[in-house]
Amino acid sequence: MVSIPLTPFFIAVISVGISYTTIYLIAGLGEIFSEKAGVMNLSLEGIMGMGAFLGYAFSLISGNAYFGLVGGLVAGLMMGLLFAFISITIGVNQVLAGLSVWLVGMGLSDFLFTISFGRASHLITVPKLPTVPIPYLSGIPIVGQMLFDHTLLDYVAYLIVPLLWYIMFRTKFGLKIISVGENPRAADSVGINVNRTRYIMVLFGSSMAGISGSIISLTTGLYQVGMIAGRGWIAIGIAAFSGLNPAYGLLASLIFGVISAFGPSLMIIGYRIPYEFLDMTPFIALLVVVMMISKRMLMPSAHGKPYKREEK
Amino acid sequence: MNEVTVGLYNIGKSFADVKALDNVTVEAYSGEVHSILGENGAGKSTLMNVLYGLILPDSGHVEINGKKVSIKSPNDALNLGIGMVHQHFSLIPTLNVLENFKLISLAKNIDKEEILNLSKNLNLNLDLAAKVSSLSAGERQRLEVLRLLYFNFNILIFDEPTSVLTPIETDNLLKAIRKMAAEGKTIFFISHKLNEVKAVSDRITVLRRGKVTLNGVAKEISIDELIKYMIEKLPKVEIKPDIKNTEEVLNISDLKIKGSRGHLAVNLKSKINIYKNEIVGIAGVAGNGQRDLFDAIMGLRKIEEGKIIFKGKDITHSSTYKRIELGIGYIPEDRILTGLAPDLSIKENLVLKLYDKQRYHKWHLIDNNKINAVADALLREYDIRAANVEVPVKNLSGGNLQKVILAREISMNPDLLLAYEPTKGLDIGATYFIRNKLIDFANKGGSILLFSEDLEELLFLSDRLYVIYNGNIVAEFSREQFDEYKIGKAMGGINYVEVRD
Amino acid sequence: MKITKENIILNFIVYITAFLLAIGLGAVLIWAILRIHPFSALSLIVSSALLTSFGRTATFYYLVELTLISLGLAISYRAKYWNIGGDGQLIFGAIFSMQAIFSIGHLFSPWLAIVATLLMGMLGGALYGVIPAIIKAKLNVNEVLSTLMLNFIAIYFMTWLVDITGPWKDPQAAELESYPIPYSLYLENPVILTLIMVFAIAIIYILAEKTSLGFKIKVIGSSHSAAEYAGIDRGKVYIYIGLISGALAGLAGSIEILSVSHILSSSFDSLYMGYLGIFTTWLASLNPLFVILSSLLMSTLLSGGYFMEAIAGVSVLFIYYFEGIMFISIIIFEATKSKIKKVLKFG
Repeated sequence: MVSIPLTPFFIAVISVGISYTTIYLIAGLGEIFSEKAGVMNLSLEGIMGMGAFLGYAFSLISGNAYFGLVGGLVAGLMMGLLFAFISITIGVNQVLAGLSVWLVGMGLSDFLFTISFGRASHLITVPKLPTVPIPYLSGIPIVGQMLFDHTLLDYVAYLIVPLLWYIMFRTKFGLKIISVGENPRAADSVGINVNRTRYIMVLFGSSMAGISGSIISLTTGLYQVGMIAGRGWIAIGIAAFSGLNPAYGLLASLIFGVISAFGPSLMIIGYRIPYEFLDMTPFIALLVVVMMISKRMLMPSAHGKPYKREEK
Repeated sequence: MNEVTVGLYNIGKSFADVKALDNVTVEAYSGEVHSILGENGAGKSTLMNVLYGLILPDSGHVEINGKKVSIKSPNDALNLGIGMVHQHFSLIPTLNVLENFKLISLAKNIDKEEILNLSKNLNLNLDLAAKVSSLSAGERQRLEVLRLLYFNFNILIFDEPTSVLTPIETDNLLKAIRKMAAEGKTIFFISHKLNEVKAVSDRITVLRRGKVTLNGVAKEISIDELIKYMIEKLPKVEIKPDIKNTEEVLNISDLKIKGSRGHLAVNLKSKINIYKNEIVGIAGVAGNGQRDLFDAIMGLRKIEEGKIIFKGKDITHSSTYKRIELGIGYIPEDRILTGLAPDLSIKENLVLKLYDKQRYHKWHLIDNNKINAVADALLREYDIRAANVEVPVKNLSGGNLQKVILAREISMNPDLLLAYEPTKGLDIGATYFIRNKLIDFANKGGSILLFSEDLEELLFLSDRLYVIYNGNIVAEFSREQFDEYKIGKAMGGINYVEVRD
Repeated sequence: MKITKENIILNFIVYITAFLLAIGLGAVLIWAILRIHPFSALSLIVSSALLTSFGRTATFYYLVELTLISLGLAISYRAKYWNIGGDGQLIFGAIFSMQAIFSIGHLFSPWLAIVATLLMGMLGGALYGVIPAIIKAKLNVNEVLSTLMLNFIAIYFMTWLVDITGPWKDPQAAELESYPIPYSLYLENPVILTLIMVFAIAIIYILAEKTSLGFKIKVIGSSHSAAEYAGIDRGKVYIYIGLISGALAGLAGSIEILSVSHILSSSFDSLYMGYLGIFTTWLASLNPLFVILSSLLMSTLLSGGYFMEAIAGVSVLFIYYFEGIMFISIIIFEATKSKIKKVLKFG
C-alpha cells in the first residue's frame, strides 16, 4: 500500500482531533444534561446551524471572534426556548418537536445567510478564534504542538468536564436533575418543580449546542451552507453512548473527534484518498458503537415523555 | 380540647364528564387518626391529592388551622407541614437512601445521626448508602414513613399504606400511626380495608362515588354500618359446585425465574398441578414472585430452569403465540397497557389475539362485518358500558376495561385461564359480575389459576390453594382444610406448613 | 384517526390556522428583509407551481416521490417505528437503478428495462431500509439514530460514486454527476407514474387496514406490552416495515433517475424527500388515503419555492424553514385540540 509518514500524521490527528473533539464535547455535554432530565433534544443539528450563522454574523459585526461566541449562545437560547416550549409546556411528542425545530433551524440559518450575504459570499471571512499557545508547555517538541496550542474554548471544554460531573453527581441540584429524569412523579411529590428543571436543562443543552455551532464557523472564519455536516447528530449519539455521564461523554467525544480527524489529517500531509470514505467513518463508528451497547444502555426511565401532573 | 387542624370544605372535582368529588367536606382534628374509607374509585385518593397539591379542585377551599390556604403544588403542601406517603412510592430507585432524603426541597442540611436514631424506633435498619432499588417493598414503605417523621410534618397522609405489607408489617405500621397521633399530629388514613380502618381510627368519613355518605366517631360505628354506607347493593352470588376431575391440565416443576434485580424471583422446590374444572388459587402478599410465575406460564418471562407441561405438551420454551394457540388465556394485572391496546377500539381489542385466525378473514383480508357481529354480541353479554364498539378503550372505566379483557379471553375458549387480581380496584357490581363469569367458566370445563390479594375472594372461589412466599410454594390447602389463620401465617412466612404431595 | 364530521371540521380549522400562522411568520421575514409583500410571494409560489407547464411538471414529480415515501412512513409511524432514513433509502434505490441501467439497460426492450430498473430501485431501498429494522429487532438500537447515520453514510457513498476519484463520474460534466441514462429509458409518461402512485396507495391502504400485519402494526404502535402479550413478534413486524418503507423510498429514487434528473448527482444529498415525507405523513394523520393531499400541498410549495429562487432570489431553503414553522404550528394545535374543542363548544 502507500506508506504514510507517521509522525506528521500522528501530530495532525491528535491536534486536529482535539479541536474536533471540542465541538462534539460541548454539544454532547449539553445534551447529556438535557437527556438526564428526561428530555431528548433531536434539534441539535439545527441549533448548531443557527449557532454557526449567528456566530459568524456577530463576529463580522463586532470584529471580535469571542463576541461571535455570544452569537452562538443567543442562537442556542432562542432555539432552545422554542423547543422547550413545544415539548415541555405544550407537551408534544419529543421526537416530533425535535425534528421540526431542526428543520426550522436548518432552513432559517442557511436562508438568512444567503439573504444577507448572497450565495457566493462564502468568501467573506470574519475574525476567527485565535489559538492561545500555553507558554513553556507549547514549546515541548511534538507534544507541545499537539496539546498546548489550541483555542481558549478547547482548553475550557476539557476543564469543565470534571466540574459538570461534580454538579451532576455531588450536588443537590444534580439530584434534582436525576430524579426528574428518572421518576418525575416522585420528584413532583417531594416538591421539585419538574418542568422548570427540564426547561433549565434544555436551555443549558441548547446554549451549549449553539456555542458549539459558532465554534464551527469561527474556527475557519467562514460560513458555508450545510457546514454542520451531521455533527449535531453525532453529539446526540455521544450523549446516548455516554450513559449520560459527563466523564464517559469526554471519552466518547475524544474517540469521535480523533476518528473525524483522520481524513483531514491525511489531506494535510498531502494524500489524495477518496475522502468520502473517511468522512463516513464517524457515522459508521457511531452506528457500530450504538449497536454494541444498546442492549445495556441505561436511559432514565422517564426519558422522552412529557410530564403532566394530573395524568393517571 | 382537640382543634380542627385541617378542613376541606365543599370540594368538587371532575375529570372529563366524571364527577370524582361532589361537594365533599371533611374536618380533621389534631391528635387523631381520621380515616377516609371507600371502595376503589370512590374518590379517596383524589381528595387527598387535593390536600397535597397534586390536583387542583374545581370548587371549594381548604383551611389549615382555621386559615384559608391555597395549595397549588406539593411544594405548597410541604411548606404547610403536610407530608404524604403515597400509594405508588415517591422514592427514586436509582438514588441511595441519603440522597432521597436530600431531595425534599425543604432540606437544608441532613443530620445523619437523627435519621439513624429514628430508624431504630421503626425497627428499620438503614444503610444510608444503599440504593433504594435494592430495598423490598416493605422497607421502602418504612423509609417513606421515616422521611416524614424526620421532617416533622404535623399533618400526615397515608394513602393505602398496607397494600404491599405482610400482616406483621401492617400491624407495626398501625401501631406506629397510633403513636404519631398520640404525639399530637393530625393523620389521614386512606383505605378500603374495613378491619384496619376500624382498628386504627378515631374518626371515619365514608365516601361513595365522590360523595360523603357517613361521617362520625369510629367507636360508635359498626362494621356492618360501614359496609352499608360504602357499597350500594349486593348482587346475587353463584356458588361453585364441587366437581372433581383428574385430567391434568398444567404441571409446573422446579421452576426458577430471575427477577429484575438478578435474584431468583421464583424458585419452586415443589410442583404445581392444575386439573380440569378446577379453580386453583395462589395466596401471598404482592411481591413474592406470583407475578413472575404468571408471566412465565404465558411465555412473557424467561425461565432459567424447570419445566412447564400443558395438556401433556412441554411448553417451557414455546412462544407466547404458541401458548395462546394451545389454549392458555391471561387476565393480566396491568389492564390498560398490557391486557389492552389503549388507542385501539373496543372491537379491535376484543379480537386482539385473533389477527391471524381464518374465521375473521375473507380472502385473507380482515372481515369487518364478522368482527362487528362478534363484538356487538360480547358487548351485550358482558354488559360493557360504552356508546358503541368503535370507542377507544382508554376512555373506559376500570370495570369496563376488565370486562373487555374477560370477554375476549373467555370467548377464545382456553383450557387454562390465568387470572391475576381480576377484581382489583373494581366496584362491587363489576366484582360480582366477574366472579360469576369465572365460576361459570370453570363449571363449563375450563381451569383457572387465580391470584388475588383479597383472601376472602380466594377462599370463596378456589377449590385448592397454594401459598407462595419468597418465590416458593410453602403450603397447600384443599377446600376442606381452608383456615384463614393458618393461611395468613404461611403468607407471612411464619411456620412453614409442609407441602403435601 | 376516525373519520367523523366533527373531526374533519376540527382538523380543517387546525390546519388552516397553522398555515396562516406559518405564512404570517414566514411572511414577516420575507417582507422585512426582501421587501416582498407576503401575499404576492404566496401567489407567486402557487401560480408558478400550478399554472405554468414547467411548474406543473415539477409539482407532479415531487408529488409522486413524496407520496411514495410518505406511504412507507405512514405504516412505519403507525407502529411508532421512527424511520427517518427516507433519504438514504431513496439514494440507494437510485444507486441500484443506475447499476441496473448500466448493466442491462441496453440488453432488453426499453419497457422491460424500465420495469427492471424500477424493481431494482425497490430492492436497493428495501435492503437499505431493512438494516436499521434488523438491528432494532435484534439489538434494540434506537431507529432514529441508526437511520440518521445510514443517511449520511449513503450520501457519502453516492458522492464518491460520482466524484473525480469514483467510477461513475461523467468526465464531460462540470458538476459531480454520473453519465446520463439513455434517452430511450426516460419515463415521463404521467399516466404511468400516476398509476404507480395510485397502485401504491391502494396496496398500502389495504395493508394498513385490512391485513393481519396492519393490525399488528396498530397494536405495536399502541402498546409494546400489549403486543407482546398478544403473541406478536415485534421484531418481525419491524423488519417487514423496514422492507416495505425502504422499497417505497427506493422506488421514489428510481423515479428520480428515470423521470426527473436522468443522472445520479451529488446534489441528491439535498433532496430531503425523506425528511419532508415525515411532515406530509404526519399532516395526513398517518392515513394512506390522505397522504396524497398533504403531498400535493408540500410539492406545490417546493416547486413554487424553486421558482421563487430563480425569479426573486429567495433561497429555496426558506421552504424548509416555512415547513418547519407550519409543522410546529400544527403539532401545537394537535396537542391542544381538546382545549380547543372546549372553547368551540361555547362559540
